Amino acid sequence: MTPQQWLLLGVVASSLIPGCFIFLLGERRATLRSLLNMGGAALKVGLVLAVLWGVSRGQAFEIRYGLVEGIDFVLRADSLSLLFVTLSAGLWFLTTMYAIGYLEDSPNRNRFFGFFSLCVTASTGLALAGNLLTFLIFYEMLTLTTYPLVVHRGTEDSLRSGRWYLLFSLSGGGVLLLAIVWLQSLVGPIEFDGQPLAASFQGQADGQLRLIFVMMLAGFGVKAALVPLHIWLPMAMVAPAPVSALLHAVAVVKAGAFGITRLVLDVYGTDLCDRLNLLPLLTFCAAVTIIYGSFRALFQDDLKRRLAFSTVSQVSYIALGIGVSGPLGAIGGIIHLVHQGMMKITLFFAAGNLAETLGVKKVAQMDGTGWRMPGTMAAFTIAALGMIGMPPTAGFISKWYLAGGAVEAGNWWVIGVLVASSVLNAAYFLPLIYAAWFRPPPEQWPAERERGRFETSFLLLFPPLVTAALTLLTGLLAGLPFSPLDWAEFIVRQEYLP
Amino acid sequence: MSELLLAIMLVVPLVLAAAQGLVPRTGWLDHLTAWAALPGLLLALWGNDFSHEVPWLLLGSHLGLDLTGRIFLGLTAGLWLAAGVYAKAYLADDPRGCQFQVFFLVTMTGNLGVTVAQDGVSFLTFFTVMSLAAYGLIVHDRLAASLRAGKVYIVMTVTGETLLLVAMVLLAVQTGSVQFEGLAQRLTASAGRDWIIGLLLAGFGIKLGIMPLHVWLPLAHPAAPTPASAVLSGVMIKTGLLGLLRTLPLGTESFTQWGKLCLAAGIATCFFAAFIGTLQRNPKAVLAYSSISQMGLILLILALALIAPAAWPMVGTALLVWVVHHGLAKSALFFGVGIAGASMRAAPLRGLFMTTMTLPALALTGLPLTLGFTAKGGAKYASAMLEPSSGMLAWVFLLSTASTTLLVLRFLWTVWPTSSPIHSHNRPATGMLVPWAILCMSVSGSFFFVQFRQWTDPAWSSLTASAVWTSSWPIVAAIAFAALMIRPLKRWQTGGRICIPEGDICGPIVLLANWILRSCNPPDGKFPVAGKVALAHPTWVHHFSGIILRKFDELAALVENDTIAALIFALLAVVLLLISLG
Repeated sequence: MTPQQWLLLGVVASSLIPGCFIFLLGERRATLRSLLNMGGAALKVGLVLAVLWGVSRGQAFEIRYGLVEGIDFVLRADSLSLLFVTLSAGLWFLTTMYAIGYLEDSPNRNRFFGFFSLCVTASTGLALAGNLLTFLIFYEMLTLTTYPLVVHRGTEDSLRSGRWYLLFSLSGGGVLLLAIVWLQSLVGPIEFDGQPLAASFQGQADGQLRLIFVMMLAGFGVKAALVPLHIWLPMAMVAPAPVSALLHAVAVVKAGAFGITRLVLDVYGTDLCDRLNLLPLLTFCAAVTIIYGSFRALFQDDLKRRLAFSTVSQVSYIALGIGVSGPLGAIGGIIHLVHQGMMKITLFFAAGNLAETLGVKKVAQMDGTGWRMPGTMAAFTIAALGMIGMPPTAGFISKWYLAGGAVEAGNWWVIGVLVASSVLNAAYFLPLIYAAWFRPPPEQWPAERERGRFETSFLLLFPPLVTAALTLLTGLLAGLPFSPLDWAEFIVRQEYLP
Repeated sequence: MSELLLAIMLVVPLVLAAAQGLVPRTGWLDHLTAWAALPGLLLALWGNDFSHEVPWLLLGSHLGLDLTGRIFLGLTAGLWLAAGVYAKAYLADDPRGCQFQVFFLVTMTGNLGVTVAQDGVSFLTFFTVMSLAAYGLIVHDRLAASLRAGKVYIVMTVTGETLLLVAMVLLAVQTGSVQFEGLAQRLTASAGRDWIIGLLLAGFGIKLGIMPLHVWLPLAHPAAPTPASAVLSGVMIKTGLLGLLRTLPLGTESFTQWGKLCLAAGIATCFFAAFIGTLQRNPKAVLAYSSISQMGLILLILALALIAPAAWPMVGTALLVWVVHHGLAKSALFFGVGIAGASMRAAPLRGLFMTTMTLPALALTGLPLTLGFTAKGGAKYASAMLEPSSGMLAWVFLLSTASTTLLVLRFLWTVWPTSSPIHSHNRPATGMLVPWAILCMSVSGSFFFVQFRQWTDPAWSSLTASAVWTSSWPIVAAIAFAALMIRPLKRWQTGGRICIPEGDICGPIVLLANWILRSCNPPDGKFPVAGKVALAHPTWVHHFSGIILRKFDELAALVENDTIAALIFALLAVVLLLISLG
C-alpha cells in the first residue's frame, strides 16, 4: 500500500479503532476513554488535513478491494468527499469534547461513546465512498449506529422515537438498495469518478432511469428529512444534545443531503438529469419542505423541537441548490452543506447548554438567558442570524448563491421560496434572541446547576464558541482560498465546465 | 495611508465594543468610545480618493473613497463623534450605559462602513450590521413604548433587508457584478431592470422613511435615547439615500414611470408628514415627522434625475448639500431636546437656549445664511430643468417651506424648556452643551464655508436679493399665520381632540397583526389551542384564522404522529412513480 492509501485508511480507522476499544473499557475508566476519544478525533482532523494537502497537490487517494466479482469496495478522496469529510472531522472533534462535558457522571457512557465513534466512522466512510455500493454500506451502518444514540436515555419517549427512526431509515435504506441493484443491473457499477451516466447512456430505458431516480431520491429523502419523510426527525430530538447536534449537522440528515448531491452530480450527472427532466421534482420537494419546516418551527415551544423543524427546512436548501440546476445554485447547495452544519451544531450546543446548566428547555423560559450565559447565547445569536441569512454570516453566503442560482436558471418562484423562508426564519429566531437579551431574567431558573467557573463547564462552552466564530468567519472571509466557498466553486467548476 | 486609516476606522469601534462588553466599565474606555469616530473624520478630511479591492472579504469586496462617499463619511463620522461625546455625558449614570455603548459602537461601524463600501455585498453587510445593532439603541430604556417601537422597527428592517438581498442578487446575476463602478450603465442595459429598481426603491425607501414605509420612524426616534435619535435621524436614515445613489441608474436614461412614482411619493410624504407632525406633542416625534417630510423632499429631488437624466449632475450636487444640511440641523435639534429636559432656572438662559435652537430649526426651512438656503437653492435650480412640471415644483417647494416652518414652530413650542421637563438631569452637562452648540453654529458656518470655498455654482447658491426674498417670504408668512392661529388653535386643542398617535397608520396595522398573531400564538405558546382561543373571541378575523389554523394543525398532527403517515408515504410514492413514468 502507498502512503496515500494508508492516510485514507487512517481517516476511517481513526474513529473505528478507538470506538471498538471503548466498548471493551470499564465504565469507570473515564480518563482513558476521553483520551481515546479526543486522541482519535484529533488524529482524524490531522489526517484529513494531510489528505486535503495531498489532493490540492494533485495526488490521488484511492483504496479498492474486490468484494465479489464485479463489486468493489472503494474509498476515494475527491473534492466533494473532502468537503464533507473535513466538515465531519472538524465538527466531530468539537462534538466529542462537548459530549464528554455533557455526559459527565451519567450512566452507560461506554455504549454511548462507542456508538458515537462508530457513527462518525460511518459518516466518514460515506463521505469517502468511491462508488454507490460502498456508499450504501456506510449509509446503512450510519442508520444502525445512530439508533443506540437516539434511544440512549432509554425512556419510553426515546424508545418510541427510536422505533420511528428505525422504521423510516430502514425502509428508506431498503428502497435505496433496490434502486441501486436495479441501476447496477442496468448500467453496471457506478463509480463517483467524475464521469456520470450521461455520456454512456443515451436514450435507452428512460422510464426505468426516472423511476430509479425517484426511488433513490426517496431513499435519501428519508435521511434528508424531505416532507413527508421528515416525521422521525422532530421526534428524534429526545436524544441527548450532542447526538442531536451530530444528527442535525454532520451525520444523519447531512448524509441524506450528501446522497442527493452525489445522486445528481455523480450518479446521473446534470446533463442526464436535465434530459430526463428530473430536477424540477427535486426542486419542488425541497421547496415544499423548506416552507413547511419553517412554518412548523414557528409554533414550537420546545426549543430543540423548534430547532429540529428548522433543520427540516434548512437541509432542503442543499437539495434546492442542487435542484435549480446551474453552477451558482450548485455552489449554494454545496456550501450550505458546510454552513448549515456549523450553524445548526452551534444552535444545538447552545440549546444543550441551556438545558444542562439552567434547565431551560422551552422557548418561553429563555427570558434573560443572554445575561446569565453570555458566551452561549452570543454563539446562539450569531448562528441564528446566520440561519436567517444575515450578512456577514455564513448563511448569507449560502443564500446569496442559492438566490443567484434561481435567477440564473430563471426559476423565479424559487426566489419567493427563499424570501418566505428567510422571513419565517426571522420570525422564529428573532423572538428567541429578543427574549435572551432584552427580557429580564426570572427570579429563579428552572433547574440551575453550578458547572465550573465559567457560565457553564468549559467543555460545554468552548465548542459553541468555536463553531459560532467559524460561522462568522466563513461568511466574512468567504473570499479566502480554501474557504468553503472557494472549495465549493472548485467542485462545481469540475462538474459544469468540461 | 488612506487604506490604513479606513481599516482603523472600521476595526477600532469593534474592538472598543468588545472591550465594553468584556472589561468592567472604566473611565478611559468611555473616553475612547466617545472619540471612536475620529479616524473616520480624519479619513474624510484628509484621505485621498481611492478604491481598493479586498478579495478575501466576503465575496470579494471593494472599499474606497469617492466624492459622494467622502461627503457622507464626513457627515457620518462628524455626527457620530458629536453623539459619542454627547452620549458620554447623557448616559453618565445610566445603569445600562455599557450596553448602550456596545450597540452604539457596532451601529457606528456599520454606518461608517456603508459610506466606504463600493460594492453591493459589502454595502448590504454594513447596512445590515447598522440596522440590526440600532435595535439595541431603540429599545435601550426597555419601556413598553420603546419595545413596541423596536418590534415595528425590526419587522420593517428585516423586510427591507430581504428586499435588498433579492435586489442585490438580481443585480449580481443580471449585470454581472455588484461593483458600484459603472453599475448605472450595466443596470440600464440589463433585462430585469424594472424589478431591480422597484426592489431597491422599496428596500431603501423603508430606511429613508418614505410613506407608507415610514411607520417605524416616528416610533423609533422618540424611543431611542437622545444621542441615538440624533444619529438615527441625522445620518442613518440617509444611508437609504446613499444606497439609492449608489445603485440606481441615474443619469443614463429616462425612467419616467419610476420617476413619476417617486415624485408623487416624495410630495405626498413631504406634506402628510408635515401635517401629522404638527399634531404631535412629543418634541422628538415632531422632529421624526420633520425628518420624514424632509426625506420626502429628497426623494422628490432624486426623482428629477430619474425623469430627466440630464439633470443628474445638478441633482447629485443638490442632494449632497441637502444631506449635509439636514444632518447637521436635525441632530442639533435632537441634541437640543436632551438639553431642554434639564432644568434651566434663569430666564436669560432659557432665552439663549431658545434663540440658539431657532437657528437649526429655521435652517430646515431654508433660511438665508444657513446651509438650508444653499440646499433649497440647488433643489429649485435642478427642478427648473424639468420643463413641463417646473411650475408645479416651484409651488411644491414654496409650500414645503411654509409647512416646514409651521412644523419647526410646533417643535419649538413643544421643546420650550419650562413646558415639560423630560429628563431628570439637574444641569445640562458640558459634554452635552458643546456638541450641541457646535452643531447649531455649523448650520450657518457651513453656509459661509461653502460660499467662501466656492464649492457651489453661484448661479443658484449666491445671496441675491430675489433669492433671499423667495426663500424668506414663505417663512415669514407661515410665522405670521401661526401667530394668528395660535389663540383659536389653543382653545380648540384644550380638549386634546386632535391627536394622531406616533406612527399614524402603524397603529391600525399592528392592531390587526396582533389580532391574527394572538390567535396563532396563544399565551401558553401551544399551537393546538389556536382554535379554542379563536372561538373565545367572536370576531370574524379570529374566527376565520382560527378555523384555518385548526385545520392546518389537525392535518399536521395527522401527518406527523400517526400511522396515516405511512399511507401518505405510499400514496406519494405512487404519485412520484406516475410523474416519473409520465
